[in-house]
Amino acid sequence: MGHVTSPVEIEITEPLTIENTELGIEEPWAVIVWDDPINLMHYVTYVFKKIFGFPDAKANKLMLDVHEKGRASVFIGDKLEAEKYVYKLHGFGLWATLEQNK
Amino acid sequence: MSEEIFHISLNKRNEIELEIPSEDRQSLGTLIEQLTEFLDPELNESKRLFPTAYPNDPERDAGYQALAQSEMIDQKTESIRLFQKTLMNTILTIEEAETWMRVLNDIRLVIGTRLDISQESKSNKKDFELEFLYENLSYLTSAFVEVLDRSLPNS
Repeated sequence: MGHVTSPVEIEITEPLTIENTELGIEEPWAVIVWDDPINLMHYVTYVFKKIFGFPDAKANKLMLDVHEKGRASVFIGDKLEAEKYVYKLHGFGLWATLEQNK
Repeated sequence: MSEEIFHISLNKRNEIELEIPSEDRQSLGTLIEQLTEFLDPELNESKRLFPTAYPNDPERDAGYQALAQSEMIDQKTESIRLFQKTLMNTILTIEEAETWMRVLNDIRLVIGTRLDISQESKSNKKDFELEFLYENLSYLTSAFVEVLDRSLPNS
């Protein structure tokens, strides 16, 4: 038997579509933290410093945005990373959601 | 619980020193035991413990929750266990103190939801006993935030 390389069969179960994601041009996702009446203001500042490593002034400004404007965007990036941060924020009891700029 | 008798401080060895009377610690122990009953995303009082990630996209949110909820329950169960284990300790590590703070805040989230606390931190439901408890827990949580904040490198 000669050395004939047989072609590898690839089973395609789903139609292949090239999404923007695969081309690396997906619109980024934003992590939004919403104002809530239960979490204490300095608690929110602490959580921003702890999770994102923000300096005190930046963490405090974002907390005030949340408090006064009702929401603040605390992270912008790819979906996986954004979800990871949302999970961490939820772990501290903050009200965080994901949003995509369209 | 009364606020005058708590004292929480950061010592030179970067540990948290806790002065809380033992009867108050026992009350906390009872509350924490009750918190385990709220580690159920289906309960109305627990909605703040398991927030939605995609409020306008139920399908995406279901995908997120499928992964996040059980992990969150495990994480909170672990935190509660650590709190119970260290309930009578007079010295906590920074990590243990942060766990205390998170658990205390989780209790506040459940009580606050039950009291229907509104934007001005005023309760919409009259339950003086629960409001008193909520206030004391807020005071204690606040004390933990202050001392833990000082332990952060970016402070």
